[in-house]
Amino acid sequence: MSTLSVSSSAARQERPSQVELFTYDEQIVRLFVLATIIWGFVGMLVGVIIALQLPFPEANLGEYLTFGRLRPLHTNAVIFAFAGNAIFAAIYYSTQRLCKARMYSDLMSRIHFWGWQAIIVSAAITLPLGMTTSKEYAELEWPIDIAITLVWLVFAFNFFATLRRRRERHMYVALWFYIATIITVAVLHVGNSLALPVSFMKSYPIYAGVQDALVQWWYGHNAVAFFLTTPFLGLMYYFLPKAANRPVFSYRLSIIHFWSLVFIYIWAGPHHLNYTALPEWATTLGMVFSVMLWMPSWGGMINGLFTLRGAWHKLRDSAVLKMFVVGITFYGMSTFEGPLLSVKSVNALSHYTDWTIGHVHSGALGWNGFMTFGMIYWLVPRLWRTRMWSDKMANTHFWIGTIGILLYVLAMYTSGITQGLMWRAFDEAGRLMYPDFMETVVQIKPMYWVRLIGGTLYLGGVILMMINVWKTIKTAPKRLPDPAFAVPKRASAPSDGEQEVATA
Amino acid sequence: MPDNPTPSEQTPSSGGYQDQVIKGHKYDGIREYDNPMPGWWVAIFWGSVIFAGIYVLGVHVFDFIDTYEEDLAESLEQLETVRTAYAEANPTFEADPATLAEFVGEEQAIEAGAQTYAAVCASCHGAEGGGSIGPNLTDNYWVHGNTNMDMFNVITDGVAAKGMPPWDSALSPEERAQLVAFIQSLEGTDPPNAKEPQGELYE
Ligand code: HEM
Ligand code: HEM
Repeated sequence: MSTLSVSSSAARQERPSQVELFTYDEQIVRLFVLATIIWGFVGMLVGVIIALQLPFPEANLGEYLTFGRLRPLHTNAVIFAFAGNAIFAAIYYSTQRLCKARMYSDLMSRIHFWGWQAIIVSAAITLPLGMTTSKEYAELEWPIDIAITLVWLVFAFNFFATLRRRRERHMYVALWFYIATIITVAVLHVGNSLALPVSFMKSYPIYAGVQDALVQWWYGHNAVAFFLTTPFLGLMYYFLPKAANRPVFSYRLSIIHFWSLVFIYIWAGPHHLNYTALPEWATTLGMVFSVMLWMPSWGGMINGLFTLRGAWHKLRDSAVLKMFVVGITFYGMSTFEGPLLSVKSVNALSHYTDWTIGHVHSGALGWNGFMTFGMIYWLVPRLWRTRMWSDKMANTHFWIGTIGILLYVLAMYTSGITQGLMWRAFDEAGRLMYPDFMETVVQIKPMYWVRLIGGTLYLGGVILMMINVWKTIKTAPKRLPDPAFAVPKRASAPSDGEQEVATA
Repeated sequence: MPDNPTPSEQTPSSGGYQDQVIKGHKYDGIREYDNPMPGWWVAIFWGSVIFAGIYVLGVHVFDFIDTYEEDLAESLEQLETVRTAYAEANPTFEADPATLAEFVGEEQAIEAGAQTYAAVCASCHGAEGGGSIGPNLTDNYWVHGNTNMDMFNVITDGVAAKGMPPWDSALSPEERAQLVAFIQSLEGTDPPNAKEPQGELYE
């Protein structure tokens, strides 16, 4: 096991007479990895179904399987189940190693895992039944919201208790990103979900009118920031230098872009409410903070891509690094596009169109999806102590996934800009050129089919990954004991001092 | 033993950066370089902060960037200019039984009406006028009357209760008159799969 080998300088160290033994909980990471893959498949299958329902309305079946019911199921499944389990896998794997400490409580880890899966299952049942708060990305009703809060608190306690017990003096940048994630998501979720229940599965938000809208998009935007961005940056900071075996490009950049990112993101939410009842000063604030967010976001991209200086040749043989590079590149593109979309005059064209959907999926499929896949291909052989069953299949996944993203986003840019231009077109008499909404629908329908092809290719890649991981696990040794380590029993042990005492 | 990478790891692609590993920063084997932030990155970051300041002052203090209201007023004004110019160049059309009668049966009017029909009406009344969401336009049964003027009024004002939109702002009076001509030309065509009669029979 290359990752667990004795560090070279350890040989210089005198063997301390008193040693502390500890192990890492890898079973919890295996669980989160498997959950990521399964929910990823489910969520994206639902994505493909709703992508079919738009150009082919006959695919809306009955009451429960219509676009309106399945769309929130898709968003909840891909964000909270797929991306959620992925970041938990990343956090549980890397935090233990960056802290040189086992998770504080195995029981809490299990409560987190099973609690989270139960929440997802309840979402998959209640959303098709039409039980919803109708707040986007926060559709789940109040009993489930309470469950989310409790599970998140268990997770937070377990994480911070592990940090406290760490055997490493400094905290690596990945950990800062995790801390920002855990604290902010808790505040966002509770703040946005405050509601008065009227029955077991129905509640009304305590905010009304435009205040509700503002709170909703303070939440919605920062869900993107602290669920789909910061934890994935933490993931990148850990797994990319590991996979490339290169030092991180710039420590200073990582500090500055971390603090500027978390500070600026919080203010940018009103860019979702341009040209609405929200007072204009608030949307101005949202816009300028979005523009200022461009470089803090690119700081992460630069630190990722520049870390690969001198390692680009490794990309040829490594599906993991290829996935990471495409993921980071899409991160760069969507965080350039985001500030652009927030500019009021651009938003006047893009808002309510498929351009938004293109932007979302360039981030979601490119950045969240590919960073997750890269991590999975890196983790699976290490967690199950074997080799990936087929590197070729992983490469095929990479290619059809990339083509799928390109088809998806290019189709949505085309249809989005077409919609935007048609809606605002006037004829020579000063009348709307396309007064009938149907005319724009007919025009963009071919693009919906292209998106469906792109989405299906992307899903095909996920299916290849499922097969590959399944076959890999079947070659794994029967027993997978937790890796064990020993360090000198001194509080300020130099970080190089660990000795591996046993691995598989 | 220095913490720095071995010479073979030092590559020409370091792009002018010193690539000095920071001592003591080694986390599960991950090291960090002490490189500065790229100059262009810092410059654009400051640029965006300055832009933000100028924009806020421009919209809300010194008024050299339009607010929503100003933007809207300006666009409406432009639109008004276009509309007035068009109205002057195209004398207004008064729909009455006499003018409508000039359209009905007129080959060119029917042809033009057919095109508008295909673009805006066919989705509800069927490509051939046999009806689907909206009623059949080819039979002798009419819900709101069968004179030219009746039809013109239904097209103009719509029937809100039944979902028929008003077309007065979207279609010019000529276009609506052409539609009347086209619809009158459909009578008795009896397309396949036509909808059952609705309304009263007009002989
Ligand atoms: C096979 C892959 C996927 C397909 C085919 C797909 C398809 C779709 C479709 C058809 C919509 C509705 C668009 C509309 O209302 O016009 C949608 C919305 C959305 N999807 Fe996906 N999706 C996929 C993967 C993902 C992934 C992996 C994520 C996130 C990690 C994601 C996040 C979202 C979000 C956030 C929305 C809502 C966007 C908005 O309201 O602006 N999707 N998706
Ligand atoms: C600097 C970073 C970013 C900025 C400033 C930004 C800005 C924006 C803007 C202006 C919109 C359109 C709002 C509208 O017209 O309704 C939007 C929508 C969206 N963005 Fe971003 N974006 C950024 C990065 C990302 C990333 C990396 C992701 C995904 C991983 C993402 C996910 C979304 C989603 C899901 C929506 C749709 C929200 C909805 O209407 O349902 N954004 N973003």
